[in-house]
Amino acid sequence: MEDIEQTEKTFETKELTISMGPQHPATHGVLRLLLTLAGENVVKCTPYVGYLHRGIEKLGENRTYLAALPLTDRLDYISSMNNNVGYVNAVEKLFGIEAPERAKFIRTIVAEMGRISSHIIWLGTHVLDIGATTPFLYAFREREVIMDLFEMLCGARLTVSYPRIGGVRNDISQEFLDELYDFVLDFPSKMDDYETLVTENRIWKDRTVGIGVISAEEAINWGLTGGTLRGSGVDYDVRKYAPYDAYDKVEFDVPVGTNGDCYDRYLVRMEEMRQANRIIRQCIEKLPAGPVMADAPKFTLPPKDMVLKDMEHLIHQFILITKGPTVPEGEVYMGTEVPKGELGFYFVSDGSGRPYRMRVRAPSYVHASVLPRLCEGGMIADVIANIGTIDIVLGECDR
Amino acid sequence: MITVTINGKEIKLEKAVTVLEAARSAGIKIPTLCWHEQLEKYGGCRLCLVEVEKMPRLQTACTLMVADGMIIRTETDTIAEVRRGVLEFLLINHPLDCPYCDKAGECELQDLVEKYGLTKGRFREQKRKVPEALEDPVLVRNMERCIVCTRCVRMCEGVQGASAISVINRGGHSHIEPFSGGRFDCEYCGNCVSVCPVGAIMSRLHRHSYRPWQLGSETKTVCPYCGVGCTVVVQVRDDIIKRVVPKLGTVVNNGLLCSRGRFGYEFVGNKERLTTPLIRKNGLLEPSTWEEAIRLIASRLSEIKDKHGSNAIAGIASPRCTNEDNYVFQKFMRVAVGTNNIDSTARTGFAGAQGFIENIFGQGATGNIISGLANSDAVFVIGGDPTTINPILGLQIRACSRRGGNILTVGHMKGLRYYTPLELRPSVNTEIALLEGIVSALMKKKGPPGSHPVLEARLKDLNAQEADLPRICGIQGKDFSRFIDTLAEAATPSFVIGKDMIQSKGGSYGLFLVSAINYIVNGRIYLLSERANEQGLLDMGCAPDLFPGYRPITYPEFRKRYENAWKTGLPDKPGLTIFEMMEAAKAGALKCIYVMGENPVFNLPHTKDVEAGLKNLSFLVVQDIFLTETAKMADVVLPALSWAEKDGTFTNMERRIQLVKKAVHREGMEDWKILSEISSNMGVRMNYSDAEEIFGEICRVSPLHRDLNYEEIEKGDAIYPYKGEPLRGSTDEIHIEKSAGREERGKLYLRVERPLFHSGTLSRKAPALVNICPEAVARISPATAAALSLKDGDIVRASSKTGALELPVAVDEAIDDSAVMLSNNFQGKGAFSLMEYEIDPVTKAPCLDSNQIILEKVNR
Amino acid sequence: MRAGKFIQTIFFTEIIKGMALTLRTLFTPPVTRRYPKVKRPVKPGFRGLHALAKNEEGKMKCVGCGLCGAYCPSQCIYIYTSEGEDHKKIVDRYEIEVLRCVYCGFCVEACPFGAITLSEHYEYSDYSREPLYMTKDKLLANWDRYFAGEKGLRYFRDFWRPKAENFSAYEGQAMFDKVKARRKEQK
Repeated sequence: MEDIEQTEKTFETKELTISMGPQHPATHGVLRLLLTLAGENVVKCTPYVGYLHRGIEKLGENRTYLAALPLTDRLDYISSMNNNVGYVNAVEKLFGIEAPERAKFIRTIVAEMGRISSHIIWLGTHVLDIGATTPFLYAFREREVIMDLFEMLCGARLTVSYPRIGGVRNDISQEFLDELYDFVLDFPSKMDDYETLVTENRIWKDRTVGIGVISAEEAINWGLTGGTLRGSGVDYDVRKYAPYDAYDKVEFDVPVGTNGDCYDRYLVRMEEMRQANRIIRQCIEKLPAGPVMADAPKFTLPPKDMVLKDMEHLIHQFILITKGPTVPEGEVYMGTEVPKGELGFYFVSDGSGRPYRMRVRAPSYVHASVLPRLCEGGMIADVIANIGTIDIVLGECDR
Repeated sequence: MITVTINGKEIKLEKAVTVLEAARSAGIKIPTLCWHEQLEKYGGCRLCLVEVEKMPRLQTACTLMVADGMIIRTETDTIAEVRRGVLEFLLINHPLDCPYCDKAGECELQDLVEKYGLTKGRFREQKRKVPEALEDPVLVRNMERCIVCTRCVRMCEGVQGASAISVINRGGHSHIEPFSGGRFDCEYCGNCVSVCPVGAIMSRLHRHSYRPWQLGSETKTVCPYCGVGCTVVVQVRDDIIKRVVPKLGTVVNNGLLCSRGRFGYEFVGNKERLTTPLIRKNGLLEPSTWEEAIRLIASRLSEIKDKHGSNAIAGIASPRCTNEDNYVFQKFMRVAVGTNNIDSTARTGFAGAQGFIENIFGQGATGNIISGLANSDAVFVIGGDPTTINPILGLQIRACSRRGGNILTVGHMKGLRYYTPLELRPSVNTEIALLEGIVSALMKKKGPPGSHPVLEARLKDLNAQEADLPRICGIQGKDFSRFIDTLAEAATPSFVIGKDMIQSKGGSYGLFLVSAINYIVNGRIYLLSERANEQGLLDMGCAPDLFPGYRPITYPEFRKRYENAWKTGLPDKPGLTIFEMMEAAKAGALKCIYVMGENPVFNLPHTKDVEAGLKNLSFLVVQDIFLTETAKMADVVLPALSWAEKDGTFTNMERRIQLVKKAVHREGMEDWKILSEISSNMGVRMNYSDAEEIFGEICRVSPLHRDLNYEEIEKGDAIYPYKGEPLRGSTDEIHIEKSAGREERGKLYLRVERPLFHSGTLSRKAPALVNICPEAVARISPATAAALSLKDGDIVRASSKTGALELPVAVDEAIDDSAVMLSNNFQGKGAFSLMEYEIDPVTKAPCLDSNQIILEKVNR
Repeated sequence: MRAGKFIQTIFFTEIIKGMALTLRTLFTPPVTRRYPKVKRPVKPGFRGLHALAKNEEGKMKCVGCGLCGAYCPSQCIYIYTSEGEDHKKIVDRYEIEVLRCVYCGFCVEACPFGAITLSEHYEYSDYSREPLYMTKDKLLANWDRYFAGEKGLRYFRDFWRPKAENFSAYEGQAMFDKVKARRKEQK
């Protein structure tokens, strides 16, 4: 402080306002931060969002419940599988139908795969932003395996659109299960590699320990969820508190941090990956036989082999696609634990085949709002660490 | 007060209604299929079954009337089971056609199966096979899809009154067929299409060219054909009108349409539409640019104005154009050109008759609510068949009969013949004598009401030969007395007056007599109007003697008002009527005529004279959407936008102002825009940005439209005077010119037929209407046919003093023995080309009923 | 602990560990590909460029019911039909704006006839929009190119969903005991 005072005495200084983003390699997409700097100190930080606004909520209101699913791929596009799962769970709750057991297990498997792939990206980019190139390359190596598995599963790597209302698009193949199991057995050793490279690294620790500290109480007040909240020591996970799909049938731990700084959030997410792997392994081992689509013909597309043979099936095919199902009136909120936090879908139904209102509670949007709290008073270099640690995706934030 | 309980909800009702209506009023949904709000109850589909306590079986909600204390349940397991069963049975024979069927997506059966039906069919048997009926040019029947709800049959019989179709065969083989076999022989109203819940009866016009969910936009607008002004919804895909459908719950037509309105929209996308301005160069019309055309018109108009004076220029406005177009047109003529020579084809009947009747009873006497006809207890029809001229008004007359009203006709009305009218069919040219007889008989029976001394004074010198009537008019005495009795007893009679009445010799006297009858029995008058905006055109001042809002130009104080509003001096002498224009053109006094959206060569009688007149002009401008007969003679032709391509307002015969909205986009300028461009080039600036702004000006200058705006009109009930000045009362003077009676028996007279499927020259550009009614035919009575040894389809040469035509004949029982009916719709085959006329001195309308015609068989 | 930390600090143990890992990795086979030269094989059922299926007679299967266009979340399918000479419905234009397509494969699910497919072809970037606007002819040619022979039949068997088997337990479902058996075999 003395130094600053000294400098102020000798030099005439003034605050500098700079715009970081929306095109900046370290802002994770089109986030723009308006930073007011006094030297290297951040005096004020204002996030500007909306550069990636596509009106997904409004688009969803103009499509049938069935056809709006691919829109959710484009929320948090690096964990589209989790968004799909969240969406179909919410819609199923509204329709009052339930997916068959096997479909629930498959959804749990793919959702945890999505979690691993999302966390791997977070790890790679977060570390890269701070200056370590190597873990990024290692991380993407494993992500590629998951992407390939997704491709094998449903024909797409990123925007999967795999789950369906009432189940999943198609059953998993034996080949997929084999390869996935191999990956699951192999993955902990890869985790060890990442930890070798990062966890104890002194530069990494210098850049993250004690940076962006937020207390448990404050984190709750800011509405933080997911790893960002758990880093502050709050034991809250939707998978535990309101289990959906097969989460109540598997064992897993919810890691929590203590200090609420960047380093703790890092540790929490690393442990989450190991836990996700554990969940996948359990699901594979417990995977039951059975249908993968619910027997709810008023809400799910009829089997293709019957459509041109039976009038009732043909009519349902037509109505479900052009007008959507007849939905009970009312409203529904359903939160699911996606890699970023709690993703909530809120529907208001007027009885027609399209939602009257579709609202997405996007964790990235909530997390972006905490940035000023984390950055103000810190150094400009730590802004990068803070952006990385809250793990936001602007596709979801702007919607 | 009746109290019923439906699903535990107590509902209090003022009067006994059906259970279905009671449930709907309480917001409880009961599925229906055969029920339709416009139709008679039927109770055939069994989908609306409900449980009523203390009744042993399920009851149909659509037919069961509520009784006090009824306890009704609409959603129980039994009912759901029954509904599933009903729908399953309906689908047994329903073909797997959804991918091909144009109805899929708006099919009521699909919706019901999705909501109430099974999800899996249990029947695997063969389905019935009925070939698609494609014989008809406009309607296609696919009876495999029919579920025999009989909505179409009930519509055809009970609402439209055409009774053209019925259910044939029994059981699983029953289906709908027209009595005429494959091809329909009906009014082609297409209302069966709009009530069909499945794709069993559909329009062929847009067959297989879209799916309901692909329709891009829907525009609620007004039908462009007749003066009724039905609300239609124009559905568009990719700037092509796919179909025009009615809308339930609209004030004027409430879900009904006629053949023209429903199938006549294709002229909008016709390939023959004009696209660029044409300028006559070296005797030929050659494509040109807007700029060149507008500059040429402006300079030529200014030149003629300078050389020969303003009154050497005249303008013909259009009853097909919007109020805004017509307002700008008359303003252009009066301000930029400086003449009152503005008229339109409304002069051939509507304008004069309206003026005449308004002089007797006060302004607005002819503008009565169309749906009110159905509530009359007697409807007196004279001078034309309302069911073909204004079909939706005709339906109200039919509805009146169905509700127990009496239909009284003078002359034979084919479209009303099933409604057992009291018909007086006077022999040729004796209508006046008959009307005189009716007046005097009614006066004797009811006595003068005493509220209109001027009219009663006029009635004093009436010398009706009542006793001789049967002999003079060739009618039965007892028919006449029944006619008089019914009319005298009617409490709420209505009078429907057609153009034939006005266009007959002594038309104004005839009109006076009808007005007198109306006065004695205290009725309401409806004046049939053939064009969409005939009323609005007059409101806008497109008349040689009236300013907008019917302000006579000869009154200096009114003129002053308009001079102030338009900030210029205005001519004070009444201008020429359309017929005087033709005379003046022939005589050389008129140098230039500006025609907007009209076809005088074809739409005015005595074609040769009109042609000679127009040829004699030094400059003729025609603004139209097609290259009409008149446009072919023009020096400059300007392409205009049609009804579906511009915004504006139409005023229907009720004086109801309705919005016309742009449904499709097309390059070009609205009529008002073209006029304001020319006006600006002539040094009189008219800067209107859109139609709404023009309407704003209309509302400022016209006392009738005061305080109106588009938002008010959008609400629906904008019948003027809305909040404006009260309508003008009657005048103290009634001009009558009696004409000398004529008695020439044994000859044939040419009469203008006003067919249902055509309307002027617009409908002949609509392929569907041309398919229904493809060519001009001369209609003759069986007696005439026998006398000339003609049969259906024979080609005859019809000649009159002014010309001759060769065309086929059709023998029709509905035609009088002395008449030959010929329509004025088909190119080169118009009745007007064979007609001469003389002008009625009072209404200034042409008298067309004394054109004798000779038919000779042509042997080929 | 403090001693360990001290040793770590002065001997850079954690850095050396990391260095050792990277050195070890240097001798493992590369996971990357030299893409344009070495093509990446796609998995069966990949959702790539569209094709319009033909039946055994070589005619287009599509009847123009328009369900694909109605279901399409990005609304990029345009279908224009008209009445043919024999009064049947004919498809005049079937167009897909590939640049707007999101490759969700919902059109395949919507089609009652199995007329629209997604091929495994994914290399079709271009410099202008026009080649990426798929017309009926281009889409039919895609079928011949990417679904020739058995491949087309297999596509409908495996990827045209949902099938009746999705609503039931069927033989040959992927199960863990088979995974176990395989691993035992490999050992």
